[in-house]
Amino acid sequence: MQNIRNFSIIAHIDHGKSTLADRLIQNSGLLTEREMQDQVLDNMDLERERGITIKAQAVRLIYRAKDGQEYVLNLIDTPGHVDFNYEVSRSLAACEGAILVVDAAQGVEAQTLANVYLAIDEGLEIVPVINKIDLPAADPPRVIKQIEDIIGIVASDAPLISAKTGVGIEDVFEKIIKDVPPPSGDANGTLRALIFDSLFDSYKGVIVFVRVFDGVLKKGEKIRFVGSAKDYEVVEVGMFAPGNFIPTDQLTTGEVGYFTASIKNVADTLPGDTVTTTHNPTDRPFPGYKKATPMVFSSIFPADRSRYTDLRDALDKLVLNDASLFFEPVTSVALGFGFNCGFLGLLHLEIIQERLEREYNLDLVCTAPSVVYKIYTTDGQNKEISNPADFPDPTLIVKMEEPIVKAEIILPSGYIGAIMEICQGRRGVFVSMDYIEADRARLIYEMPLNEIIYDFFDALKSRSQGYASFDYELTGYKESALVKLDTYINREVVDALSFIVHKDSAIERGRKIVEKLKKEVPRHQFEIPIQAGVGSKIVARETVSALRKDVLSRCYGGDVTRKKKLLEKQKEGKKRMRQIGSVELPQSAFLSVLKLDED
Amino acid sequence: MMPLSIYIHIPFCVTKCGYCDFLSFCGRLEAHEPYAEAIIADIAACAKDFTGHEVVTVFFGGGTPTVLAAGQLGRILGTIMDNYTLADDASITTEANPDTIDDAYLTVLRHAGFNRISFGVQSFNDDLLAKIGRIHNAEKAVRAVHLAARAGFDDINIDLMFALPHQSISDFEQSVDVAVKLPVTHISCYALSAEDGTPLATNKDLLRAMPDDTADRAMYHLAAQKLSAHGFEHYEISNWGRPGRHCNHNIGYWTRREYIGFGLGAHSLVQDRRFCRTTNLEDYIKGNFFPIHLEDITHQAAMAEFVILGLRLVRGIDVNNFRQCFGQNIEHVFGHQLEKFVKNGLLAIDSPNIKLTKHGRDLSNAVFADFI
Repeated sequence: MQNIRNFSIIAHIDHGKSTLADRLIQNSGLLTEREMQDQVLDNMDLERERGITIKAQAVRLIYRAKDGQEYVLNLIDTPGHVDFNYEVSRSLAACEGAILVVDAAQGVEAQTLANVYLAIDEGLEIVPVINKIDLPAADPPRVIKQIEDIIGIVASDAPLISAKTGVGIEDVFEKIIKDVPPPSGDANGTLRALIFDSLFDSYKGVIVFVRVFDGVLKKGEKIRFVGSAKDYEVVEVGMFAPGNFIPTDQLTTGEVGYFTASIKNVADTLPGDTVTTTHNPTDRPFPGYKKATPMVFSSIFPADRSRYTDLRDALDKLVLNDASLFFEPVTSVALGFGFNCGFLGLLHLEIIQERLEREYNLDLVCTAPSVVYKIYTTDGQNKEISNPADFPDPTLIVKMEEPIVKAEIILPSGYIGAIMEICQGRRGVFVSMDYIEADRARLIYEMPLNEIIYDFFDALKSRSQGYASFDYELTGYKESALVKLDTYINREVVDALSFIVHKDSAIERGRKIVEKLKKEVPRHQFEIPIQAGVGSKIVARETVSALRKDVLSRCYGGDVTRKKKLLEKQKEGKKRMRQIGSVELPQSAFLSVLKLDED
Repeated sequence: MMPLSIYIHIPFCVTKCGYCDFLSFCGRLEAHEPYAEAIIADIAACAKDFTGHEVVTVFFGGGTPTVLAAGQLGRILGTIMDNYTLADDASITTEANPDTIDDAYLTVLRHAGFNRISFGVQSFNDDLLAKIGRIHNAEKAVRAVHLAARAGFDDINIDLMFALPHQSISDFEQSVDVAVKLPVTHISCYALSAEDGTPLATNKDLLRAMPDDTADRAMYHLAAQKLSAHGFEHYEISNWGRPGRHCNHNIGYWTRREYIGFGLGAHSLVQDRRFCRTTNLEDYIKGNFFPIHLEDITHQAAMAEFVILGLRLVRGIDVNNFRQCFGQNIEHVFGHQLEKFVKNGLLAIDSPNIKLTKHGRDLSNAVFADFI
C-alpha cells in the first residue's frame, strides 16, 4: 500500500490535462509511441473534439522512481465540467491527491477553481504543475503567485513543464510520489469500496469502476451495493491498463480497478455508492450517493417521424451509460411523438443531442430548453413542471417559483460593462465583483436559470469576443412571476413553440420569436400572421405576405425531365415540413427560436 | 398512324445572351456545315423507326437556327420530307433572330417548306434589349415581322419577355402595344428567370434591378388582359394565339405526343421513354447519335405528367381523356390533390375538364409538385 498513489488531474479546458495524462502514460513506458493514440483517456470522439472529458476514466501506471522503488500510480481522469460536478466529486473521493495543471500563460480559470475547492473539500493534497512553459507568452512566476494568492497553496516548487514537448514530466512523477500520501485503510477489514463511475459493455454488462478503501474485492465474491440494495456475484475483477482492462484475481485495499457482475442496469451502480460483501456488510458506508437531478429539460423529436423507434432505442442505449439522463415519451401536435428529456445542465444537453445525431445518425428537432418550475395552485397542490404544455390555468396559480443559480463569469476587465448589461438584461442580480489580476475580473450574479439556458452563453461569448468564461451552480428556488408565452402561426397555437418566461420578459421574447419565425415561415398562397401572446393578449406580431408567384414560365420538350426534378425537390422539401393547420413549417423554424440573440 | 413531332436543335448563336441556359455556341462557323450534315445523317438513320408515324409538326429551335444558311435549314427539312410521312397540314416552324434574316433568306425558307416563324423579340425597348445582351433593336424586330408576313409565312410568333432588369410595368405595356399592332398570329410572354450557371445569375446589379414578384405578376396579368382584348386567345401559361393559330408543336409537349429530337442535346419522348442526344458538339459531328437514356416513365409517372403538362394548357385536362389513356378515373388516382386545390381555389372543374384558375396560373408549381 505504501507504493500506491491515487490521484486525479484538475485543469481548465485547454490547459493540457489530456496531454499531460498522455505524457505520463507514455513516460511510464506502458505504451510505445506507435500505440499512443493522441489523448488516450478521452475515448469518445466528442471528448476528443471538444477537448473535454465526459466520462471518468482511469489508468494504472508503473513508475520506477529515483529512490529505486517501483510505484503503482492510479490516474483517475475526472469529467471537467460543472454539469458533472457530482461525478467529479466522486472521482476525487477515490484519490488522495490531485495535480492542478495551470497554463503558464493563461493562469487560473474559474472552472479550475470550482474543482480545486471540491478536491480540497475531499481532503486531497493539491500538487500544482505549471504547463505550457514553451509558449512565448508563458509567465510562470506570475502564475505561481496567482495560485498562491487565489487558492492559498504553496506553488513555489511547482514543476515547470511542457506536456507537449515532454519537458519536466519526470518532476511531475517525483512530485506525486513525494507529496501525494499513500492510501490508508484496513486491509483485513470488511470490504468497503467506492464506485466512482461505470460503463456499459454489451458483453459483460456494467463495468463498475471502484476504489477499495478497506478489505479485498475478490472474483466470485457475493457483493452488495449499499445504496441501491442490490446483490450480485463478482464475475471479473481487474485493473486499468491504458486503453484496456487487465483481469486479476482481486483488488486489495488502496487499489483502483473495476469489476463486473452481470449487471444489466447502470442505475444499480451509481457513482458514490458503496460496495461491500453480502455476508459481512460494512457498517461505515460512504456518505451515500446523490441521485442526479435533471436541471434542464428539452423535448427531442426525430426530424423524420418514422424514426421515432430509432430515437427511443438510441436513448435506451445512452441511458445505459449515463444514469443521469432522464427521458419519457411526449406528444406534440406540431412535432409528433418524441421524448421529454432531463439533463444535468446545458453542456449535458448539448452532448446528448450531439451523440444522438452523430453516433445514432438521427436528425433531431429539439424544443427550447426549459427548467423545473414549482407551481402552487389553489387546490393546495404543489406541481413541478418543465413542459410549457403543463402550465396550469393562471387563475388557479397561487404562487410560482423558479430555480436560481449563482453565475460566475471571469473576463478581461474591458468587457465588464457589456457583460453586466447582458446579466442585468436577463434579470441578473449583481452579487460581487473582484479582480483576480489587474486586468481580469470575476463577476458574480444571481440569475434565474431560465435566463441562461437559452443563449446566454452565446451572447456572453459574442460580446466578449470569446474571452469570458462562465460557470453556474444551482442555489435554490425563488418566487417569481411567470407566464406562458404562446406562439400562433396563422392563428393556430404551436405547442412546440410555447415558453415559460418571466412576465417582464414576455414582450421582448415574443417580439424576438415572431421576428425569427418571420424569416423561417415560407410564403404560402395566403397571408400568414405570426403572433406571440400571453393568455388572450397578443404581445407581438409579424406577417408573412402571400406568395405571389411560383411558376415555370417555359416547359417544352427539352425541359420536362429537368423541371420534373425541380418539382420533385419542391415536394421533397414539403414532405420534411411540419403541418400546422394549413401552414407548412420547416424544421428550421423550431431551431431558429433557440438562438434568439443572433441576427 | 401515330402522330409524331420532330425537333431540330441548332446550337449556334451570334452572341450568347446573359440569361440563356440553352445549349448553344457563339461563332464556330467552321462547324456549321459538318453539323448540318450530321443532323441530316441522324434524321435519315432514324427514319426506319418511325414508319408507322405521321409527322404533324417540325420545329427548328436553338440557339438561333437562322445563323445557319437558309439552304442548310432547307436541306435538313428536305431530309425529313424525304424520309418521313408528313401530314398535309404539318406546322413547320423555325425560330429566328430578327437580326439574322432578310427578304432573300425568308424566301428560301418558304420555298423549302417552312410555314411558321418565331422571332425572339423579347422587348421593343432598345435600352432594355441592350441591357440583356440582345443584338437586334426594336426597329429591326418590327421590320423582320413585316418581311416574314410579306414572304408568305402563315404563322408568325414573337417572344416577349417581362420582369427584365430595370423594366417598368409601362415599359412592358409599350412592348405589348407594339406587338399587337404587328401582323403576328401568336405571342409568347415569358418571365425572365435567373437560371443557375448563366451570367445573369451571378450579376448582382442586374438581379437587384429585376422587378419583384408583385410587379412581375402585374406585367403578366396586363399581358393577359391586353392580348385577349386584341383577339389573342390565352391557351397556355405563357402562350397566346389567334383562333386556330395555337402552336401545335408545343401543344404536343403538353399533351404527351411522341417527339423525336435531332441535333446536339435534343430530347425525345418515344414509347414512354425520355432520352437525348450527346451534348458534345465534336462527338455529334463525328456521328455519335446514340440515345442517352434520361428516364423510363412508369405508369404512375405518366399519369403525373399527363396532369402537370396538361394543366399548363388553359383548357386544362379532360378527365375522359385521362381514363382513355390510363384506364382509371382521375379521382381515384389524384382525388386528394384535386379536392385540395379545388378547395383552395387553384384548380377549377369545368366538366369534363379540370383546369388552373387565374390564381392557379400564378402558383402552378405549388399545384404540380403535389402530383409528382
